[in-house]
Amino acid sequence: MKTRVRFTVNGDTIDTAIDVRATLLDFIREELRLTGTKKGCDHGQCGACTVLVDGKRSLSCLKFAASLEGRAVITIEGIGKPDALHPLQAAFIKHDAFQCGFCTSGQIMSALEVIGDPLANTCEAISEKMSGNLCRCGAYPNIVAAIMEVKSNGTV
Amino acid sequence: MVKSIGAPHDRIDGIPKVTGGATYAADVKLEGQLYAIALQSTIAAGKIVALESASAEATPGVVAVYSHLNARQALTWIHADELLALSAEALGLSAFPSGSSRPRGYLPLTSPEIYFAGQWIAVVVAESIEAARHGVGRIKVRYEVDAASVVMNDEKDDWIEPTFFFGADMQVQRGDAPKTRHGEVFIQETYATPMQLHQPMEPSATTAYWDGDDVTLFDSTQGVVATREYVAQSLKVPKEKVRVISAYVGGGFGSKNQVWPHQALAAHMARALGRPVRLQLTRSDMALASGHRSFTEQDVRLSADRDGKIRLLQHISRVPTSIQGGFFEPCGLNSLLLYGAEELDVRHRVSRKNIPTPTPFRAPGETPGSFALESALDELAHTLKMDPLELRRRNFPSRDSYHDRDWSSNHLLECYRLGAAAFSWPGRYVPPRSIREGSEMVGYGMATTAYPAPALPATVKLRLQVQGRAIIETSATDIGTGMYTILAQTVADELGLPVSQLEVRLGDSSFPNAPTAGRSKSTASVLPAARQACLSLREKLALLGASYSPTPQSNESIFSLLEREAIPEVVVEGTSTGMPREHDLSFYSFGAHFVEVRVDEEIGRIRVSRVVSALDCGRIINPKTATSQIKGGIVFGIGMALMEQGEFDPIHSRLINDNLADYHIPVNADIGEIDVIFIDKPDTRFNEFGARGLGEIGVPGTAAAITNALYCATGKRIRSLPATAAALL
Amino acid sequence: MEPFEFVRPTDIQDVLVAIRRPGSRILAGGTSLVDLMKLGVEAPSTVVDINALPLSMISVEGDALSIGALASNSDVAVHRAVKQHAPAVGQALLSGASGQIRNAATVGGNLLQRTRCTYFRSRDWPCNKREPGSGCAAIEGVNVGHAVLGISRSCIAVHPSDIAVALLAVDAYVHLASVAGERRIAIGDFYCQPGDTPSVETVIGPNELITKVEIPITNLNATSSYLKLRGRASYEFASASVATAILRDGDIVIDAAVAVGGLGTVPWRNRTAEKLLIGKKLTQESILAFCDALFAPASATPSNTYKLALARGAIHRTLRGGAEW
Repeated sequence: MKTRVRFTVNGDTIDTAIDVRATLLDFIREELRLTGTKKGCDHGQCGACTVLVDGKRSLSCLKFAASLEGRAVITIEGIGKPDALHPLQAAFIKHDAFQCGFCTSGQIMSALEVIGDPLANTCEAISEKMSGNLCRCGAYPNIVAAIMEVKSNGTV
Repeated sequence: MVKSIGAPHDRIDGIPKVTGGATYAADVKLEGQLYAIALQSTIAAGKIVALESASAEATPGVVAVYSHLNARQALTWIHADELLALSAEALGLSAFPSGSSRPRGYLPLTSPEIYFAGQWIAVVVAESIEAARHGVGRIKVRYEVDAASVVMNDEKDDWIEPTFFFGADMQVQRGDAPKTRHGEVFIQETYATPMQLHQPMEPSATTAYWDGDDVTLFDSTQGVVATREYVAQSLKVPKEKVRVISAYVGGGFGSKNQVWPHQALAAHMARALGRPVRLQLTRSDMALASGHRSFTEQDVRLSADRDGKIRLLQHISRVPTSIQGGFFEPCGLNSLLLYGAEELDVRHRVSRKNIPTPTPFRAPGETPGSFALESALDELAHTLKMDPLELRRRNFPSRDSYHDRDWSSNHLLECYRLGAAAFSWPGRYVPPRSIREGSEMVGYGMATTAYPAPALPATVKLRLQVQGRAIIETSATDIGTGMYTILAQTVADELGLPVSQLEVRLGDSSFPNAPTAGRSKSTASVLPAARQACLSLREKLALLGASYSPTPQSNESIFSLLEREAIPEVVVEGTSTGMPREHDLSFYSFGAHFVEVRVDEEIGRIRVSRVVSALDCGRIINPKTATSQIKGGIVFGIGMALMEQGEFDPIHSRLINDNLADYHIPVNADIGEIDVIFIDKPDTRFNEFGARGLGEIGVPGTAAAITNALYCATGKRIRSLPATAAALL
Repeated sequence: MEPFEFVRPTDIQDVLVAIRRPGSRILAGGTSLVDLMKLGVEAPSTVVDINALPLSMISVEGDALSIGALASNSDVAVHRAVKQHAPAVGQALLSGASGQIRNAATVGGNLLQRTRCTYFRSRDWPCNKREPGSGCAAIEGVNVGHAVLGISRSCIAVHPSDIAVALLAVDAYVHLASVAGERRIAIGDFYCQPGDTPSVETVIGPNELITKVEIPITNLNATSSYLKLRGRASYEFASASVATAILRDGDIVIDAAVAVGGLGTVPWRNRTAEKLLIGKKLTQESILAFCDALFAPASATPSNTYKLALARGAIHRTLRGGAEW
């Protein structure tokens, strides 16, 4: 069963008929071929699929793509390019805030909200606010350091 | 030029990883690609008596349903000994005495027999993920249920005594043990560790496609060469026809170390259907179809003099394996090496249970074994009212008495000294429950860690191109370890090129062979091969008339030489030899963990507030990635100590927490301060770099250091992990 | 997942008509429904997306704080009026799930969140809540996280919501609309204990929609706070949680509300027990007496009895406000 939906992904308008059962995650990965967003658990338990929906971090595995009418979605591909990294992306590299890299897109998309959160101004608060993004490699302290650096530099 | 080795170089795979450009196995989508999802058995033992797939097959978008009823014919999917010998099922089978009936391993979809709950019994292939999921939900299965057991029973189980595993005898008795009681102080306790799940963030996936007789797999594996062997054997095609690519692997920790059936199954289905197929494991499958660390029970007995000298160390492990497989946790490995007791009794007993086949998981053996051993040492220290660090110092093993060899290099005492100083270790006996801060009880604990330093032969190809860059190729994988980066650093130093001029290509079975990334062996296997390749390159350039020295100035002349001679590319290979043969030595890494915990007893809040780990891993090639890897090992240890526990339903013998909401791994807020100190003294008798691997050594000992600290804080000894609020209060 | 019809009415009347279809389910934030549909636990024939409705307002209306059913957990948590008049509600929301889920999840949806019982969340197990009459696998199964209050022979599943516990402590009301009209229910009357019908979780009718939650603005509610205990430091459902509100005249308690989460098949509160606190000082003894009364009906298994100790600790900690005895 298909339904028509119109929304934007990284600024591009999507206007298409899609399987009502398709999650935003599967839609952006399989149809739009934006595979930077990862499927870690498919049940809202790991954060690897985090994207921004209307500027707010959100789990794309727990959204039907059909429900995004009129929304604006930003994925990891939409925030920086290899030759023009977002400050967070650069800080993640500098602080070695990943190892295998699989959770990294989700971490960065989640951190995008945290760097703008005035309540997240200590390492402890950042750590709590980033707790919806699991990292089995254990890069947590480095993730906090990367976010802290971007916040303190005021580059965003 | 600044040396690259030893510098905290950023990961060279950083940009693709932070921009979403790194392509993992399930990120590949090919023209006409199909999606496959498996159905799991709901029973733990018995037989399928009916499997109704017509409704699933009729589901819109479903292309095929495979089960034991049709896989043999439709997929040429056949259970064969020579295949199973290459699979995860086989690891450990050789340790079982030939007298005991040797099981054949299990291969899903080959028979109606059920050996464990969660076993794959059907696979649905469809045009979309949605349709595949829909189809799986429509398969109806009827079973004949047999009695299953997932709990060990000392008296009733049919125990097997394995022989030789992981380079050690599994039944070691030295001296008069256990008949005599030499010392004056005794400890005898039983320790238990639960089932643990690897849960790398990337669920394993294989995308397979055929081009004529050639098949390519985009796979998530720690070892592309081993995978190619297995898949070729399964498909009955020459291995040259199989290419396995794992350029990026989203973590493994052992779950992608062995080869699992899904990797071949994707290729079989793609061949049968004439279309590319992606088979991605669900998070639940990751708990059941790619191994786990089994639960263990360990009896440890220590006997010591009043001055703390350990006379007897007895460590008896009871561990399970699956009905058809072979892997078991060799818990006693570190007990053979550490503390040098003259009387040693280290044995293992194995019982077959209705569990999926266990598999190596970040320091298999050493991790659960260290929990028992290092806890027992702490108990001994408290009995003696002695500083636990001082107890370990007094029992420092000056040589490897089990193998009767000297250590190639052992700076454990330096780890104790530097770690204690950085931690501000009390340096005296601290009685339990003696430190309170506000509502919290504070405790300190420590433990030793040790892990072998193996190496295997590896080959690295180096291609110097006239355009002014060098390409490094080997089949080794970077599962988050930093292999991309340290290879580049190595070649940069040897050739005097900046890292930016190098391109490292990994994880492709068409590249020269390197061992599977596991057991902390990649650094010592691959880097010497890279150096050999660089030496070959210099020789080759010399033949071309270039006087080569690794300085930036000369490189310009190398590239201009290639240009002048109209040579587009010079290709060389270098091969390493594995373990050094010129020394009869024991090659090990060592370390010590120091932990502070805080326990708010009224509300049951337990936090690991501070960890300092000092490690002797030889020379550190890249302190940045090395520190990250050790921190990651410590985070594993924190998870093991406080929360990780696979649980079986007691009636149905089925794992109930096969997901990340119910199987807890640490989140960001669980992790406090972690300080990693490297002794950084080269082990030059191991290899020319003096470097040993460090993927596992952060894990062993960490859990015990934490529970030892919990004892110090609360007076409550945790002998069965995890140390939850329920267990502690 | 079976296919379904997807509708997205923009008018509340159209929603109320759409949800009258048998087999329809309301989709708000989706954090619960999408998950359960993937698990096959929910299989609606029609999904009614209500996100086009203007139901996300948070405002003070007279002597009540009004929170629209579609207000996101994140927005509610940091709203000034919520922090001022019902701090426990904001704290409960911030303690729940993760930042990502809080952005998507709505207040109305959170009230209807289904249990996290493993046996409920897979069709492979018997579960009276999911499939009435099929039995309860949890009673003889792994029940370390299961309820100790309000249980029955049919079900011991614990209610997972944090906000519902806070709302119970602040005497909130749930507003419901249907084609037949509107009604208001005290949150204390909203949830049903499982009894013999664990599939019936609330008094909400099949054709009703939650439109808003209303919190009385009182001096008591302004003192409220929420403490959540769990195994890992974040991103986990409560082992035990407590929402408390206390009004004192000097040392003497003149009004008290204590609701407990993570222990009951429904958010738990006992007004009779609370009376034990009134007119007294908050001492170890008075709090102990209150806890004894509150937990008198508890029935624990060996594996979940620790929850009672945790809840008692949490109540002591919050009532005494961190002061040393």
